[in-house]
Amino acid sequence: MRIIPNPERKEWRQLLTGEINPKLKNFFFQMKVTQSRRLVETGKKDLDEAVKDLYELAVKFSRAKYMDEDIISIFGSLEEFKTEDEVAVDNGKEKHVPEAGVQSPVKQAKEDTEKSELERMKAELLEREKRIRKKQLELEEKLAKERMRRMQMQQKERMVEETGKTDLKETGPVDKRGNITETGQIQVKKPVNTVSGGKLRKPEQSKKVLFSKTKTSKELNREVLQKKINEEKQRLERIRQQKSSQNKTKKSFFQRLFGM
Amino acid sequence: MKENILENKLYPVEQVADFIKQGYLMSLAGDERLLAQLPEGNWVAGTIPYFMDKEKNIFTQDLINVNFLGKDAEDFIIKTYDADNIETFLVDGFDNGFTFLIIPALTEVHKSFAIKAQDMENLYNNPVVGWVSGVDLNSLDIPKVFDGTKASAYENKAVAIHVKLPENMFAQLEIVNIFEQDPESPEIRFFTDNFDVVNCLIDGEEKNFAKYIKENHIDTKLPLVADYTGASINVSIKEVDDEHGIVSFYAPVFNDKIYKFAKPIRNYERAFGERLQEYAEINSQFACNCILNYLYGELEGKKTGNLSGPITFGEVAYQLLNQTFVIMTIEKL
Repeated sequence: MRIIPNPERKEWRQLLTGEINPKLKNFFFQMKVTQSRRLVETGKKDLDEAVKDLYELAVKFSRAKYMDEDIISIFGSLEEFKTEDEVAVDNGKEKHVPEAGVQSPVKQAKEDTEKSELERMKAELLEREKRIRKKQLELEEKLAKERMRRMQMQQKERMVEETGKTDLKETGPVDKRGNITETGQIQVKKPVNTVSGGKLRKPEQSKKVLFSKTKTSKELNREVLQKKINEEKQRLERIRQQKSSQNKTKKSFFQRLFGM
Repeated sequence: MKENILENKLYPVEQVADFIKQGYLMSLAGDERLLAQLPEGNWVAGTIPYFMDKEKNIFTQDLINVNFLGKDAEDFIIKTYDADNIETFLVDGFDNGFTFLIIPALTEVHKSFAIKAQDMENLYNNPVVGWVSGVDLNSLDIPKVFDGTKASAYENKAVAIHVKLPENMFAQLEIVNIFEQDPESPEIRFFTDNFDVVNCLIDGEEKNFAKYIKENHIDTKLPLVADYTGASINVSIKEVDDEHGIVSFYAPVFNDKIYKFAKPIRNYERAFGERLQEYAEINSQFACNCILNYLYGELEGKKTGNLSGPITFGEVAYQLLNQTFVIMTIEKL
């Protein structure tokens, strides 16, 4: 079985948080990653748990079609994840089989050198991992602070909306399609009378754009979205009731299927 | 259970009855009147009279499509599920193997599976493959599934075979989707996970979807396509009701996905021919294609690859799909 990069590798987390977004090719992997992202984003699953699950399934299906390519697209190289057998084949020799009996002193010395070299590399790697982990912790801390800052801003904006004031100086830039700021907030614009060609135009109603092309769903204003979801559910219910009172006659499956 | 040495293809009902008596583990597809004649045994079935065979795609109510599922199986369980317990079907699966599922079209269990599947824990532990049963589109028949262990038909239940594979084997699921997102299409987002939609966001602006489709002369034979980390997943439009301003789909749209209309396909036969070339020599355990590809691509009498299987009212490859070709193979480690 091919060795899959261990679950401590940062790329697993980046894959599930969307920080990296490779185009995967294995169907199972594509679907599993999509589901894991959804579960993590909606808070139904802890990120570490999702990484563990994904890793375990990647190991289980490591021999499936396109998995090699997908691992490369996530981790950059497959070289370091080769099995002992594969390395032997690449080097043009069969897997090393230890000889019976006493080894020659030259061979023994060579092995000792290799061992100490390996030890040194191991120590280096551990050191590197520690440094990376430290960096990661720092970044996570930064991220948490940023989240806190945004939450405070959102609270402030909500208060402004509730009190009817529209001075939102602290929000980020406005999307050119509409009014979403960097934090995904809907910004209430104060209607302004504008002059065009010497004529005074009526103030334009500010258009509320819920999603911009570049925004993800987690950036949405949850309150507004929830309102929209409820409205959509009510609309659907109303139409279903109307339709069911109209559709009393028996129709063929074809008619039902194609709504005829 | 008898080992599989036979070919997946269309067989007369008498021969299928013979296979059952010999103990083969099978999934069957055929007209309800044929399936109702079969004795109890290790089989499941769904109603459908449309098939792809090695020579061509055909409509027949005289033959039954047989998929032999027992070749590598160490064990199996056959069970039925309704709308209330469909989410528990994974619990009955084995540690290593696959689950084969048949669901009757446009029923509560169909909707329930379609909506719930994507959040099911352990959905991806083993391949879940199958199809949605249907009927002759010109008849008043009703889609059904059969649990062969009781030789019973159901209109409102899904039937599953959970198959156990040996440790040195695994089941692999692939899809062939001839559609891809049209880069010119607007981005479409929906508010709820649902089969029906009134309003949606088109490039960020809230609009009535039915009205948008009419006004922009959108070809409703083309599905909406979402990107699942590289996989193109279709949702096909069933009906645009501009009187009530509602659009219905053959599978649910999800509120966390960004959809685009698909790029038009000029020749379905050629598109499938090209995409299925790499599967010409494979020994598939199961394959199916969608009735909408068959209808919109006018595929009756035409050849779409060398694979045999039902032409279905929906495909299952972990979750419910539309307008997609599904293939499952068994691989050795």
